[in-house]
Order: sequence, then structure tokens, then C-alpha cells
Amino acid sequence: MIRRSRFTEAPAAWLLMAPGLVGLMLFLLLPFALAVVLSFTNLRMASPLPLEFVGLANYTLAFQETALPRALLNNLLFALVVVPAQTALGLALAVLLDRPLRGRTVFRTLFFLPVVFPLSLIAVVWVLIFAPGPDGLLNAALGVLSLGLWEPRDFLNDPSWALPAVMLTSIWQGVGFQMIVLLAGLQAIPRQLYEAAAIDGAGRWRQFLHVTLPGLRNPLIFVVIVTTILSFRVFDQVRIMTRGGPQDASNTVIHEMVRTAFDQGHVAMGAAMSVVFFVVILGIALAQRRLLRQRGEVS
Amino acid sequence: MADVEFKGVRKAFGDHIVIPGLDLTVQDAELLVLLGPSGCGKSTLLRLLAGLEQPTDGEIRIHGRPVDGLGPRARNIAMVFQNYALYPHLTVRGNLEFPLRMRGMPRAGRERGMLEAARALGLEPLLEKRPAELSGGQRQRVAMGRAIVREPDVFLMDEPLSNLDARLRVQIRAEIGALQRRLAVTTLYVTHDQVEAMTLGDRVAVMRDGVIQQLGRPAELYDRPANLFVAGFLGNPPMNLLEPTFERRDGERMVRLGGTWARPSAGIPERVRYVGIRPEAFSISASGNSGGARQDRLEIQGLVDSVEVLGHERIVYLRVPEPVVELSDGPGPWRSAEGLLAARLTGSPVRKHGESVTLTAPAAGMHWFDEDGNAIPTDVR
Repeated sequence: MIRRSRFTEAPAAWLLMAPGLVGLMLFLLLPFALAVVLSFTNLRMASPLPLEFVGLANYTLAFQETALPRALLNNLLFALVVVPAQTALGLALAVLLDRPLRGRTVFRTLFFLPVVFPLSLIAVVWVLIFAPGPDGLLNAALGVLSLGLWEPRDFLNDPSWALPAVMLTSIWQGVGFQMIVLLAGLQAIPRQLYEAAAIDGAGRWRQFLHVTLPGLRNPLIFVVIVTTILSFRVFDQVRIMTRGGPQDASNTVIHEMVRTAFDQGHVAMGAAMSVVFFVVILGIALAQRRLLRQRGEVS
Repeated sequence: MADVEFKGVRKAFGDHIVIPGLDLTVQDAELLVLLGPSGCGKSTLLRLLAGLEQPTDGEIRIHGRPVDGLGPRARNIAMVFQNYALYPHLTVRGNLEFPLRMRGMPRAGRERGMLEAARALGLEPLLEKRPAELSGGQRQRVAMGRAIVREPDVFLMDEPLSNLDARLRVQIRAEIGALQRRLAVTTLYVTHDQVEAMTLGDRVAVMRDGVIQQLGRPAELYDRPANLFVAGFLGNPPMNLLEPTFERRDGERMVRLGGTWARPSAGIPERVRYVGIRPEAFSISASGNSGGARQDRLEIQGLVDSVEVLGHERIVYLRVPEPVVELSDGPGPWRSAEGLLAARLTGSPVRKHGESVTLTAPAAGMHWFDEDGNAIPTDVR
């Protein structure tokens, strides 16, 4: 019975999946397969040289002569800072704005606004905020707050400040998303659980630990995975704010890839980088999956 | 010894007054049931005692100690919630241990207390399961276990059986009663179910609009309801209510009740506005021997409207020529055009629709109520 129905359903299922599958093949699998193939060649844009198979040369060169290692490190740093910071901040905002606060709808809207703005626009605005000299917005504000002790600096051109500046922009832009997801999660926690915990003797902090956090487990996992993926895909902010500089201090893998493949026309090298990057991302995704599966799902 | 005292307790949410001012004393080791329709303030009273709400006015004492301003934590009470409120991420073991953990009890003591509670409720095989894997009855038991595990001064139960099916409800009701008697812990039990109230309560407080209508032992409330509300709330089908009309006939003071005239020489005083008769006070006979004007009993003639066969008894609904009064949740009694009386009968022959019969009730089975719905003691007769 089951077998038969499955058999008759199969063609319909394939038919329904077809549009999605075709899209995946055309725009994801095919380009990636091409990238793998191209990464073993010497393809350059507008090059008169004949296409040749060069073996692993692009891979060794990518690590020796491009900013790829530095970009990988930057991405890792970016994720290590932005994911926890943004999640913690999003959680704090969600908890705050879950209370019966005057004007909380206004605050929720304000904190969520950056999420719906184009990243490029936000990057431009933050370039203005980070503007160098004593008249730059942030410099001026820090000057006032420190009673003149702050020495103005050129954040985006300072090797030790460029990456943190990009991180700050990203956190500010993305925290609203976390906040909204976690707020929805908070509202799904039954009020009686807090009351039961209070009667059982838990104070506010322990209620947060034993009711709020476990209740937010699934939304937190979701938010952490999404933010991790996004922080490895960072491109817009870097492109607009620092172009990866100074001295690759804020360069990221995707940015380096685009620069190599399109700015410098070295397509094969870019392809090699994308394959390396794919392996790294796959590793992280598998590790995360494994980690979460070990802890078991809560229904 | 008085264990829990409410003194002039008032609670308002903004302009909305839930409890206008209430005094109540719960005795040590007593199980007191707060009974009333939804919105009568019974749950609010429980939450006030738990410290989940603070009273607008008045004082609450537990063991003689005023608890005003104290949070739930400082009151050493335990509560069973309607939806159990078990911690979904913890196992049964974790749930039972939680109150002990929050009180900083060392591991060995926690384990001992947890096992003791689990044993008392037969939860030992379920210790490693999570709430989602348990049946409704098992969850209810875990909630009970979490309440008894740390030996609280007072148990609070907020409609603990209302999420269970009928059969389980009867079973767990008995278990709760037995457990409470064994532990002898003062218990406040909130319900809207009169059967739960009657079977479990040492005493029952019937509430309406934040006011206790009557407080007493279950039998007392049933046999001598203080007013129309209590009379109508307890009993199923509810008490039949008739409006007597008084008239002088041939120089004699007569009363007309349910379409028949009675001679109440030593009978019903004229200030009686409503006469109540419980369905089981009636007996039934075929019509014909009409002697309505008897002092010691009331006879009402009517037509059988419908019969509900419940196995051990039958509920006969009788259509009478006069309207009867019906109670509602609203401000006062309503006149019903239906004119239906309910009689609960055992062992008499099955009556058919449209059959003409006579209902007979002894005078002792009547309840009197005045204009305002308050009971008039029948021993003044």
C-alpha cells in the first residue's frame, strides 16, 4: 500500500521539485563545478595565453602570494567577535524590549531598521561616522566624552582599527535581526514557567538561566548559525569602507576573491580561493551540526 | 491553629476591582477549596497568597507572619499550576530537584528528597524522561511531586485537574485527597468544578465577584445554602426555584406555588420571594390524587417534558403551567418562560413524554429566600 502510493507520488514530487532543482544546478552546482575545474587552469581575463592545466599551482600561490591567509584569519576573528557580541546584544535588547516598557514598539522598530536598510547605504553612513580628524562624528563624540583627552584618528586607515570598525558596523546593522528572532522566542515562553520558578525559589538571574535561556535554545541556535554564515560572507562593508586595507588589515576572503578574480582578472586564482573557502565553510557547518546534535533536540 | 489569614484583602487592577475586601482564615492542615465561576477572583486570591501579585490593601499572614512585600521565594509555599508549568528542558528528576537546587541544598540531600517525592507519587520509572514524553496524568503527578518535594508550609493548587480527561480526573482527585491528608499540609485548592470541591474540601468557600458567598463544610453548603447564588451553583441539575404568590382566599392565607394552591397556615412566611427545591427532594406519582393544599408537603402537577436516563437514576423534566426562576451568572435570578422543573428519581417507573404526573416534595425539602436572594432559615417556621 505504502509502496504503491510512494511510487505514484514520485513523478509529481520530481515535477514539483524541478524548478528549485534546476535553479540549484544552474546557479550553484554548475558554477561551483566550473570553479573547481578552472582552479586547476591558468585562466585570466583578456589573456592571450592558451588555456593550460597547471595542477595545484593556483592553490600554492594563493597561500604564498595573495592575502588569502590574512583574509581567512580576519574572517575567523570577525566571526569570533561578531557572533557572540551580536548575539549577546540581541538577547539583551530582546529581554529589555520584552518588558512592558513605555514606547517599546518604537524602540523595537528603531533597532530593527538597520536590518532593512541596504548594507551599502549603512556602510556609507558609517564611513561618515568614522571620518578622520577632530570633526569626524565619532572622533568628536569621543573627544567630548573624554573631556578632550581623546586623540582623533583615522579609524578606517589605521591597521589596528579598520577591522574593529567594520565589526562595529556589522554588529550595529545585524543586531536587530537577532533581537526580533529572540523576541519572538521570548514571547513563546509561558509566563507560568517564570511564576513556577519564582515560587520554587529562583531569583531573577536564575529565572533567566533556568527558564529564559533553555526556552530560547532553538532560536539561539538558529541565530548563531545564521550569523556565523553571514560573518564569513562579509563583503559589502569591507568593499565600501576599507577596500580590505590598510595592508589587508580588514580584508576578507570574499573580498580578496573578488579582487583577485575581477579587479586583477586572475579568474583561476579566484576559483582556487573559492574552493578553499568552500572547504572551510563546509568544515564549520559540519562541526556546528555535530556539536548541536550531541546536545540533543528539545521539543 | 490558624495557618493562613487574609485580613481585609483588596485587589484592584487599575480601575477593575477583583477583590473588594476579603477576610478568610484557613486552619492548619486543612484543605480549603475556593469554588466559583471563572472571573470570581479565586485564582487572584491564590496568586496573592503565592506572592505573584501584591494586594492593593489588607494583610496576609502565613503561620502568623505577615508576608506583605515578600516575594514568592520568601514565603515557602508550593503551587501546582493548571498547565503544570513543568520545565520542558529538564527531566522528571531535574524538575523534582529544581526547588531544592534553588534553595541551595547539597547534592545528597537533593537526591534523597527527590527520590522520596518520586516514590510517593510513583514517578520512579519516569525519572529520566522529559515532560514532553509524559502523558497528562504523569505530568500532573510530576507537578505534584515538585510541590511536595521541599515540604512547604502551604500548598496552592490552581485548577490542577482541569486538563485531564474525566476518568483520570476522578483517580487523581482521590490521590490528591489522600496525599494531602497524609502530609497534613495546609492547602488552598481553586476550582470551578463543584464535584471536586464537594469531594476534596474540608471546607469550601463559594466565591462570586471577589466576595465569599458562603464558607462551610461541603454538606453544609449543599443542605443550607446561604443565598440563591450558592443554591444555584451547587447541585446538578441545579435547585428548582419557584416564586410563591400570596393571597387571601375564603378568609384563609393561601400561597400559590408552581401552579398549585397550598394552605400555609404554619408554612411559608410572606417575605419569602423564592422557594427552592432540590431535584432529589421530589418524588413522582401519576396524576389524579390532587391534594395540593397540604401543609407538610408540596404537590405540583405537570406534563413530562423529557427524561434523561443516567443508569442508576433518571432526571425527569416536568413542564408546569407557571414560569420558574432560573439562576444565571448575571446580577440576579431570571424568570424563565420554560416552566421546567427537574426531578432526580431512582427506582420509579419510566415516564413518557407528555404523561401527566404529580411531583411531591416534603416541606422539609424546601429552601426559602428573600427579596435579595438571601436564605431565610427554615427553622423559624
